[in-house]
Amino acid sequence: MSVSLIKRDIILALRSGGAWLYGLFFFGVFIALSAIALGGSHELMRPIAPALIWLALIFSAMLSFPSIFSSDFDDGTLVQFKLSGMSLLSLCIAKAISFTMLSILPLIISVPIAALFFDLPAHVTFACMISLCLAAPAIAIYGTLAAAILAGRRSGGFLIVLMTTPFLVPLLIFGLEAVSDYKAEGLGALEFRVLIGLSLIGASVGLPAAAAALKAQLE
Amino acid sequence: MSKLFPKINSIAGVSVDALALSRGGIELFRDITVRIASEEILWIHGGNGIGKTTLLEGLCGLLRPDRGRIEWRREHAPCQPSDIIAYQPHLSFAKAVMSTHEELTFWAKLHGTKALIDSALDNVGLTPKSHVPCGKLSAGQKRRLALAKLIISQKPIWIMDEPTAAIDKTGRDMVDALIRAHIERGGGAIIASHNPARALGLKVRKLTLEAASLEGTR
Repeated sequence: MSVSLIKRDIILALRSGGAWLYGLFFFGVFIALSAIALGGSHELMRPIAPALIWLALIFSAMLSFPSIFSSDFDDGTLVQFKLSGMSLLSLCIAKAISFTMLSILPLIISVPIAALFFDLPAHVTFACMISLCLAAPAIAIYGTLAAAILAGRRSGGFLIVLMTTPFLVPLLIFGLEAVSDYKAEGLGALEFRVLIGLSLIGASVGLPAAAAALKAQLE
Repeated sequence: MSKLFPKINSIAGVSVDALALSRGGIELFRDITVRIASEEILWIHGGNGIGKTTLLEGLCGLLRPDRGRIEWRREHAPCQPSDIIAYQPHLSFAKAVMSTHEELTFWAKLHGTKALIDSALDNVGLTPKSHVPCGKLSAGQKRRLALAKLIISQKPIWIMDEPTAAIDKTGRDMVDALIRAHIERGGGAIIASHNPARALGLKVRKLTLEAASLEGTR
């Protein structure tokens, strides 16, 4: 059931005339403008580049959060999901997975290109990608939760940003610590395990909460 | 036809007791008491904005009643609305970029009725359009697609919001024939329309919503 939902979301995104690429486009523009604003000096940019990449990814994800449920809510598809007897938890799992695949994965894949702008050493680029991969489930799940709570609200987009920010702060802190500790401690650095833990907490608390929020929306 | 409409042996029903529903903080009606079960049609009639859709959404379990109770039953035991109800809303919920066939296949998978897709499309006259994106269908064809979704859901109670809006004369006869086939196999139907009940050749119970029923509440 979840698999056909994910497949449908991906087909809908691919046929949307490129709308799913706005996040990637924003990510690229953010990186390019940061490089210009910092004067293009590699010595200046190299130490803060991982932070810029993390910020670009988080802002770009925030832009995409409202779209997780908006079209399904507006055209009545969510109501039909409920009446089909489908479990809302598996719906939220499917939505979080398709969000990860469509709105986060392309950004992580393009991190090496962003690294070229900042002349990042290979090991820092690699640590950046791993830390983002480990944090991706938590980012997608908190986005799903906020989108479920605010589905159908007119000014939802702004509130989604406010609501997800506190959840994303620990990811940002530990993600960047992981990148800086990677050189000394490798993948065994404590922060990588913390990121996995944050993603697991997100999965065990955020997903059921998102399902409950949807259930409340639909009655 | 018999493949699409296998006999429904279990008795399903919805009973409504002294129901009051509101939308946007305004009470639309109160004290509605009605019962609908297998092999029955309930025709809800009323003008625009009188609360027909609100009542239907209540019957689908999508709104919390202000007062009163709605109960869904299968085989005389309480059940979830999703166990017995298929809802055809006024707006089409087809995705514009999916083809008619893909859209129906997705919902058939959810209901576990993939074997019925082609005959359901044929039955509502959409076979020639099966590879056309839903966004390119006319309003009437979208209604037909929604009917096909009702059929593939294989639920005992159909709840239909203006089923013949935007549909031509032959389409209207088709809708009537589908409803008749559904009732004869042991299903039930709740139909809301701004038109008075049509003669479907079946016993139709009528419920008329009137603004007058709210007089004196404000």
